[in-house]
Amino acid sequence: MPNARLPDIKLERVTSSEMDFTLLNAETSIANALRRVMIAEVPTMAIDLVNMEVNTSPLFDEFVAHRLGLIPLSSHEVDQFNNTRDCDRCTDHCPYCSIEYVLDVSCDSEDFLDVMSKDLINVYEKERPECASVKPVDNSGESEAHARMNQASKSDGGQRPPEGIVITKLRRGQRIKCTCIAKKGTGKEHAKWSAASTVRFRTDPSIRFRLDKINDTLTKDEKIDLEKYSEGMLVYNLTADALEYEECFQERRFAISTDTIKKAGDLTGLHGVHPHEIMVYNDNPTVFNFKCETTGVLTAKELFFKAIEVLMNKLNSIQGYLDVELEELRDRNNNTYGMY
Amino acid sequence: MANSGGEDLCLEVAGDDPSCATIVLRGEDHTMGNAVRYMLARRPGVEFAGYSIPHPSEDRLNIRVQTIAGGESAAEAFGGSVKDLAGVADVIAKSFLGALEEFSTSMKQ
Repeated sequence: MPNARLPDIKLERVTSSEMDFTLLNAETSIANALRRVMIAEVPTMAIDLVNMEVNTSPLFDEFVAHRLGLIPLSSHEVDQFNNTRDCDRCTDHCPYCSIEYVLDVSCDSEDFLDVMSKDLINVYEKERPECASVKPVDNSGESEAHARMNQASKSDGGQRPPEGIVITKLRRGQRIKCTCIAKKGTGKEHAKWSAASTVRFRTDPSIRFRLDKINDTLTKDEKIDLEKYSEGMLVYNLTADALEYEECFQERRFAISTDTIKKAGDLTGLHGVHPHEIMVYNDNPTVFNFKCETTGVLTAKELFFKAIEVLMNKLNSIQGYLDVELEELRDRNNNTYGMY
Repeated sequence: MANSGGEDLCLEVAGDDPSCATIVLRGEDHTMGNAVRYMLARRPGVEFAGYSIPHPSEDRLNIRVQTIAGGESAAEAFGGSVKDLAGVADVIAKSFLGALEEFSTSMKQ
């Protein structure tokens, strides 16, 4: 392919829910497309419809329904589900396009009772193996905070360990009963379907010094002066009478502080050199450091693969539609010419 | 959501000049718009490439392509760019697999 850079990837850190990688030799548009697809277009499962039967909890119906919607449901098997809208097996919903949960908790004890996401009972569990795999995420990956919490509750003795997410709390005599229908969707429609909690990238620093130019321009004293203002980034090499980057900045992974830039500009300005001449502005970055973290419904790896897959499917379907459209256009043109 | 009814892609060619076209996509947003626009802009023979989403509540993405007269038609340039983009996505997927392998072997050591 002659018209684009061909990217390469280097992985820096991979855990089940987090991943850091570097996209090398890429374009901003590509990096951004990847980021956007990972955030908003990878399908997952989430509760979308709640039928409230009894709710004497302190939270009103809509409040509880909203909280239920936001519960992450593990979506490793999401590809095995149809979109409910175009499911050909049912008119409403079925085990091939949705999951039904029942939540029925009442508090009989003197204490408060937490209604947890673990209390959601999967009605479709026996229907299909894929249905059983869609369950509330009780531990979003391997976050340290979670591990500490689990540790704490274990050492607490009688306290039961956290079982997912608190939906609401009940006092004696209160009850909540509802059925919830989880459907497939994407973050484009509602953020509850977004598998990503963070996907971000940063590029190489956009401003660099042209040290050769600076060294040619400044006197020895001025160089030493600039070294002091560089916050440890530059070192004055006495034998070469030149400013150099401090070793750890050689990799170009730094940003220059505004004070340093201003000082360098002031000093070179004394010699009639415009500040623009001693700076290089990198307006076409090629290296992108990505950090991504999922909510636990998919692993970070899965999220990446699914994002690429979504992108590919989109492009292929556009290609298909384009071919059809071109065919029609050709036919139409032939007809008009025929008329004359 | 998107794609409900209507066509997913339509090609508007004004007059009989194939070197200019507006491609209208439904169900797509800045993700596709910007990426395809960029691939078009890099393509030799493309004179102008731009995209717009005229109104956020209308499911419509316009991609405008103008090519140098006598060369590739605008629609072909668009198709080619989409193919290029798919190629890039493929390369990313492959290099990710490679990186994953490399990473797991370095982890074992």
